Amino acid sequence: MNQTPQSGDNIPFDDSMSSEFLRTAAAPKTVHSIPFGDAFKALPTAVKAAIVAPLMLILVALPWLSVLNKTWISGIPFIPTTGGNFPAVLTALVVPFVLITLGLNVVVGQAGLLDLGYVGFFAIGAYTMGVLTSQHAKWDGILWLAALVIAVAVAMLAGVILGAPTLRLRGDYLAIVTLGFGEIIRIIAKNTAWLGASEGISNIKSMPSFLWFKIDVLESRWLWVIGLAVIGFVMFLLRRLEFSRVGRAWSAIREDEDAAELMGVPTFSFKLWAFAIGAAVGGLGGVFYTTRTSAIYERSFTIQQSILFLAAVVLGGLGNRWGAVLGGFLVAWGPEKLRDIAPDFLKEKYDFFEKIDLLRFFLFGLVLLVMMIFRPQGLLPRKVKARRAAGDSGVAGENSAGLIAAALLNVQIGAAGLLVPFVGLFALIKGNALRKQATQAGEPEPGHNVVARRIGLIGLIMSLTLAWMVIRPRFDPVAEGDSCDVTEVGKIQDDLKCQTDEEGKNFWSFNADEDPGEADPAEEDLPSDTTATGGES
Amino acid sequence: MAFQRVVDRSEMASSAKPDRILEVDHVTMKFGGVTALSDVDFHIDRGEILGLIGPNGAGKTTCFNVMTGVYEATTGQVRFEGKPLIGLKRYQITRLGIARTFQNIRLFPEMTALDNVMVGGDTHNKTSVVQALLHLPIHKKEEIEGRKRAEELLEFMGIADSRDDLAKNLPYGYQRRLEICRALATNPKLVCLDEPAAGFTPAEKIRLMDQIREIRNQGYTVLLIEHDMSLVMGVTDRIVVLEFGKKIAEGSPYEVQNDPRVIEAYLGVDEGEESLVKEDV
Repeated sequence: MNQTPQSGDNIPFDDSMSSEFLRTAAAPKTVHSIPFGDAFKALPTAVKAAIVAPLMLILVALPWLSVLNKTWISGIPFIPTTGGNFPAVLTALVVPFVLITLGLNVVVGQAGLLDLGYVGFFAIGAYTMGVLTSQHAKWDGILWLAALVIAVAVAMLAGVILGAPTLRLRGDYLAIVTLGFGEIIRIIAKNTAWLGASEGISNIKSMPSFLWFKIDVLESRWLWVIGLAVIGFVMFLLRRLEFSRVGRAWSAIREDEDAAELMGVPTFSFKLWAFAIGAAVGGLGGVFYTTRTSAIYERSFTIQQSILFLAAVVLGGLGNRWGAVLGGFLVAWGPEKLRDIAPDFLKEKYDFFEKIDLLRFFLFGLVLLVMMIFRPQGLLPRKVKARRAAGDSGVAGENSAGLIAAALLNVQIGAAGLLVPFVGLFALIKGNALRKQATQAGEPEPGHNVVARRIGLIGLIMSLTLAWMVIRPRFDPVAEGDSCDVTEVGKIQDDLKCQTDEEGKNFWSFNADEDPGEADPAEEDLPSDTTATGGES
Repeated sequence: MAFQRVVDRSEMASSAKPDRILEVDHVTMKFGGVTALSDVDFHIDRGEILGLIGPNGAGKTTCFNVMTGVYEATTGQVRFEGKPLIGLKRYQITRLGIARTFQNIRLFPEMTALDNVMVGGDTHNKTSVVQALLHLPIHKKEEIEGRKRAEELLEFMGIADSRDDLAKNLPYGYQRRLEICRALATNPKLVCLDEPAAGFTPAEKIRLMDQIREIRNQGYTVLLIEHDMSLVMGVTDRIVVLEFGKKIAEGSPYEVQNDPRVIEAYLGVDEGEESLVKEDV
């Protein structure tokens, strides 16, 4: 940008300069992206709770919900992976990846230190945990927790030990040195008999069961809940750092290290802190990885992994915690999801689609590539604080845009589908009010508001249609002569049964006669799920 | 006034403050074979506005960088309040009480104006990582005070309306002013402004002159590097003139203005006159 001032001379205000002024003055309006977070914060608490609560519930219940794949109202059509064991994907991949991207985001996104050997800290956390909780060490119960603390502390220490000499380097040089460090850690593990050499460490104990959380090698669902809690806690702590002297110092170092130091920021110690904290969180990722997979090999900690972590952070959006979480999730879950990306009818027709899961990493790479072309700043870029001046029409418009985003999210996730009509309606009303306001002020309607209104309308119509599709058959007698073959609606409504009464007429009924007291859809859906699959084939 | 320099107890206790806040003691600065400064010797008195002027390439900014610890002098030394600034890290020098702005603006572009100023304000803050994690009272206190002071400074420089905008999106004039805010936020004893009026309109320059005077009145000492003669002459108490890395004149604006060597340096003289001036030396 405007980094070259008119060096000195007493130049009068000429035309070239005025255009320069205009250009920079106009910049904020074009650069302003829609800050979803700010729009969301501006919502009434009740709406916020109504949006967040079901989402949280679904998130926590993900591994349990995956069984209900076939029903759209309670199940989640999109998130579960069918190719593998979905809870295993969540606990062995998603939790470690998200923790790692959170940690790496501190180092790369916030402090701007390009660390290509981050996998080293992941490995240190994993190996420390492996050594402490493998069968030989016989650490169990409360000692598991102690092992976790030790593993994190060791990773943090490694961060300090690596950081102290290398953080005097900058940019590319730092990247190269850390790249070497990551590889050194792996090679040490490969060549140390005590660490299992190339065989790795096996028979690592799972996290012990406690209270009502039953956890063992086969049952990892509760580990997901615990992992989520840990992720939440880490995010909470990182948030506190971000909005403090520490976070500001990190940003300043990232933006201009020399200027930061001349403004009184002790750059070296803050860079070291960033490294140590990033390493600790990465080590925590290693702990969860080890505890779930129960066996670790040096091959899991290659440089390619490190690059993948970095890709995850960049994909999510450098410098944004939520972006890091999203990126970590996508990179862990995406390749698994792509295993079953081809629909059945294509698989039957063409052999190519049978083997498409072999191409999943290629496809995933393609997706990443396209993402980076169209959204180089990442899916959730670093937050830009919006102006919150009273009567600022921009925020009001973004407000409804935020609502729409929430509505779309709910549609995607399915279970909270009931919210969509309300959110859509709200967005529509709000959007119209805003349009009116803009017309009265003689300004053009903001573009995002147009989009918001239209999507609101579509969401409203879509959700009402869907709702009608669900409700209608319940009142609709089946026409005479119609068979009881499962219709489009019947397929997705497992609790709806086609029955024939005494007169030979068909009608839809719920399986009330079977178990009238049963209200839990999860319990009902399990057996009927199998029958539905049987009917299809 | 709200943005007055904060004087803490230890500073009050040491009542025997030297009058000379900064002494540049026969400093020579060489880059390889190039001598950027040769035997430059001057001082800054507490509470004054000193102008450092000279034609392009005279060594003004180098002089500045030696004073703020960016470079270490080849020979000679810089003393701040009587203590030599040798072996100190840059941020330690800032903590001692020297702050600066940059000739080519070096704000933190992806941070808001307010955060830019608060980084400067953090210079004397003591919150550690652990204290920030636990939200201990010291963290809250420093956050609230830092924010308040930063807002006052933005208010003073007249850019408070842009406090939540990213620095890179600010208009040019705002960026220059924000640099001054950020420097003042470190609560310096000496604030060094490196061409703060570069690219300003005449009206903006007049306003800046008032603001510089006001800064001095609030208890700061000001060192001003400037190209623009009208600004320097109008606002400074004393002027040091550099040419080709040497000090060629020092004195009040009036004295400097009428110094033949300064006139020569700025306007040039023809051959005959030049020899005359040299004899004069």
